Amino acid sequence: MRHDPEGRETAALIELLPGLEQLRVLEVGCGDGRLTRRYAERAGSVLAIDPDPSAITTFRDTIPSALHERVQIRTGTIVTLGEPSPTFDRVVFAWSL
Amino acid sequence: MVDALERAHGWLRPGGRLVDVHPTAERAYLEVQVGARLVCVGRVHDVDEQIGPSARHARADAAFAAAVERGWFLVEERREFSFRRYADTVDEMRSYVNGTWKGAALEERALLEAARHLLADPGARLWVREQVGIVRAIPIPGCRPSPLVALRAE
Repeated sequence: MRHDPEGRETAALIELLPGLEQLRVLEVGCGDGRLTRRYAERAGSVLAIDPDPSAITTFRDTIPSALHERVQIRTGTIVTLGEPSPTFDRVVFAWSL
Repeated sequence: MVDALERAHGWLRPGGRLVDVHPTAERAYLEVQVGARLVCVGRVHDVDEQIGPSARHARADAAFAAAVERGWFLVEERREFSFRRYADTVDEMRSYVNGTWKGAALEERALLEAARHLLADPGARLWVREQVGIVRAIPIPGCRPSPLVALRAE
């Protein structure tokens, strides 16, 4: 399967997530990182979480080396992340609400 | 879902933004491009009304609307776009949708129709199309966790 080869999702993300440099992003429901790859190189840092361990393993195995330092990948949900404290500049629900 | 949005509010710094991307409740369509002609051959159906995509996406819409109604977020920007997933064969498409989409399936009649077009024109392209909404919202300062979330924190 080829997902969104036209890049419409990327275009929409770029439009609604401008100026990510230096910003901290929490991505909820990152799955295998399909969406994360589309914006992470523009972000200061990303914490990407998903409850599916197999999707997280796929993400860890396939993340480009250029994103290793920028993206932290963790199994979990926004509930298991702990009690909220104002930490992130952007929270992204990635097809996960 | 509403609880997740309330927690997201709590994780955001002042001046932060929430971005939500999810398909609309409109059903996904199976389409074939034959030359310059676009043929809609069928739709993805919810085979389980509780967990099927239309029901799930409608619940996500309702949760987001509830978060706005409760004053946690103010919608700043909203867009929609078409998201296409392409398959080289009908079998690949059937396997993908029926095997990975929760509570959903493609109509066999639509797949047969798609196969007929692909056989007739080797240059034809097959995809499933979803309408996707993306929203950017501003957290409203001063919102406090509900008593339910406060109790869970203890």
